[in-house]
Amino acid sequence: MERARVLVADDDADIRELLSDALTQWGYDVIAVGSGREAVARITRELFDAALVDIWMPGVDGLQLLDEIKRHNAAIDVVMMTGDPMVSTAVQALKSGAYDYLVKPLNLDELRHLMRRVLEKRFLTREVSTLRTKLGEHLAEKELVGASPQMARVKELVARVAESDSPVLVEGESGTGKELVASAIHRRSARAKRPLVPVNCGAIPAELMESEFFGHVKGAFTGAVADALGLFRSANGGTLFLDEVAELPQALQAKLLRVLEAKEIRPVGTTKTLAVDVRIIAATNKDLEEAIKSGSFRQDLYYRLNVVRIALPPLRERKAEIPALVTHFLRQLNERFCRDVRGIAPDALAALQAYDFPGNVRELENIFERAYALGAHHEITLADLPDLASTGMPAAPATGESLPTLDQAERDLIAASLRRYGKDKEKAARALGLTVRTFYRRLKKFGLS
Amino acid sequence: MMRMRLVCSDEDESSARRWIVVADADQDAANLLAGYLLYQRFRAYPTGRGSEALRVARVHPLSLAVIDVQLADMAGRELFQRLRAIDPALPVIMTTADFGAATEMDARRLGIIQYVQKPFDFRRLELVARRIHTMRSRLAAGVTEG
Ligand SMILES: Nc1ncnc2c1ncn2[C@@H]1O[C@H](COP(=O)(O)OP(=O)(O)OP(=O)(O)O)[C@@H](O)[C@H]1O
Repeated sequence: MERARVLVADDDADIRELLSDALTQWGYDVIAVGSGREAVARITRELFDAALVDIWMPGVDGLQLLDEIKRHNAAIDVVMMTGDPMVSTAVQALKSGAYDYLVKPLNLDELRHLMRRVLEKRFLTREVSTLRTKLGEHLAEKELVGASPQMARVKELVARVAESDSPVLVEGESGTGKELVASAIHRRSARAKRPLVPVNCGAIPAELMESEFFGHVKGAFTGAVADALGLFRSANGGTLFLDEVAELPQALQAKLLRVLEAKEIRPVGTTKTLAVDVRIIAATNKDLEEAIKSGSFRQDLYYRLNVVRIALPPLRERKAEIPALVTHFLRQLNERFCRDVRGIAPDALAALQAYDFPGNVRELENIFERAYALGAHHEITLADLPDLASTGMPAAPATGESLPTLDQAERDLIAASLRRYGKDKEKAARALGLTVRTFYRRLKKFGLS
Repeated sequence: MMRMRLVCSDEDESSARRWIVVADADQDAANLLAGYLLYQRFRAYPTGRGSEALRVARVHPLSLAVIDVQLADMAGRELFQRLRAIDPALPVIMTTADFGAATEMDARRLGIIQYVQKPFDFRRLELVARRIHTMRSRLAAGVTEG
């Protein structure tokens, strides 16, 4: 397999040696030069995939070199190295098209990850997300897949509580589909035409919670330059989805309880209360009963929220679901990328089924999406699941050796774009975020024209 | 000679390496906030254009996006949707100088983590950024333990 070529430009010989050693060890071809001038000479004669460039070099400095490289071949990803973390230089470099910057003293972990990301996913992430962005808006409402007895029960409950107006508590580990369940309930309820307002309780700093939830009046605090509705009034008539409800601080738990009982809120900075009509769906990946025992969650609030409880089992307890989910994701991906991957090889499916999925359905979706993007065959094979195949753990992104070539993936994406846009090469190029010139070069390279 | 750590860990998506984009049709407002965040040691990237924010998001994992309801080339909600298509879990703060109730309701329906009126209270934004970063490192720690 072709190795990625990296140009290192730094006037410090120690750094050059160190980088050459490290990058070679990680499987890259390295050319190291000591000045901007030499670097310019190299890039005009040879092909590189990426460049590591010191910002401060005598003669042609890093930023000039960056311009030269980009002018010569904008597809080379340039990582700048800088001795002082001067923010303005770094931002200037990024604005001029650098991929990223590293601050010296270099951290090799950081460098290794960065290079891996630059070279392995460079093409893919960019194009995949362009396509995803383009087509994402047309994706149908997300559907709750699953026919195991556990999921059948979940769906039945969803249908039943949708008809009522009572609070719902959705429990399940991260990635089991809690938000999906919440939106399914809302969409089927009488409130469907009104807003569904989701909020991640863990993301709001405690100091700001009250005004986020209940709004404020102008002048209530610094920054309250005008009245604001807050979450409850924004969701009025509809549903408020409280994700990670266990993260609510005590003070807010008490206030929330009062709001749920009285169905009225009091914006920050006023004594007036206002009526609200909001259905609450709460979700948690923590055991709330444990949290009650440890004193971090109020029991009375728990009773208020937990009128109907829907428990989503972890994926490892419903592995029979995996083939259906895989088929579902495959269909979505084929639609999204205009490809026709027909299925998954038995050994690849077996590898998926042997895995535990601590990240549940979301992890399955991610692993599968990655396999799909990298695979570029008629079916997903075990080789497309390098992490699962080798160690049984998908902790790290795979290293270069075990993956199908980027060329192949690239070729596939280009072919897909051609199929979609037919004769209109300009559109096809744009869909992939490529210039027309680059696009034609690739067509020629892959013999696709 | 440089100091280097030679141990390698696999914490690729650590929040320290992630970017915060700040997008606002008012380029000065974007610069100001990004400058403040950079000063607080976040990696922030200011832009007036949604298309530029998207370009950044396509090559860098983001930790947070601060989006004004109005950008130079698209509405804030469009950028929101397109950023979420790239990363469905991306936390977003929506900012605005338009204090209408409809604007706020629209923004909140999107599933933002904070709605901020302009001129910014920088400390408020910084609190949110910090919260996101702690959350993410906790999450990362949880995953490696699990
Ligand atoms: N039964 C399912 N059918 C189809 N897709 C699913 C199913 N369950 C989960 N997913 C997908 O997995 C991903 C995670 O789902 P979701 O966001 O609902 O999980 P969650 O439990 O809310 O996670 P978290 O606790 O981390 O917020 C989503 O992309 C969702 O579409």
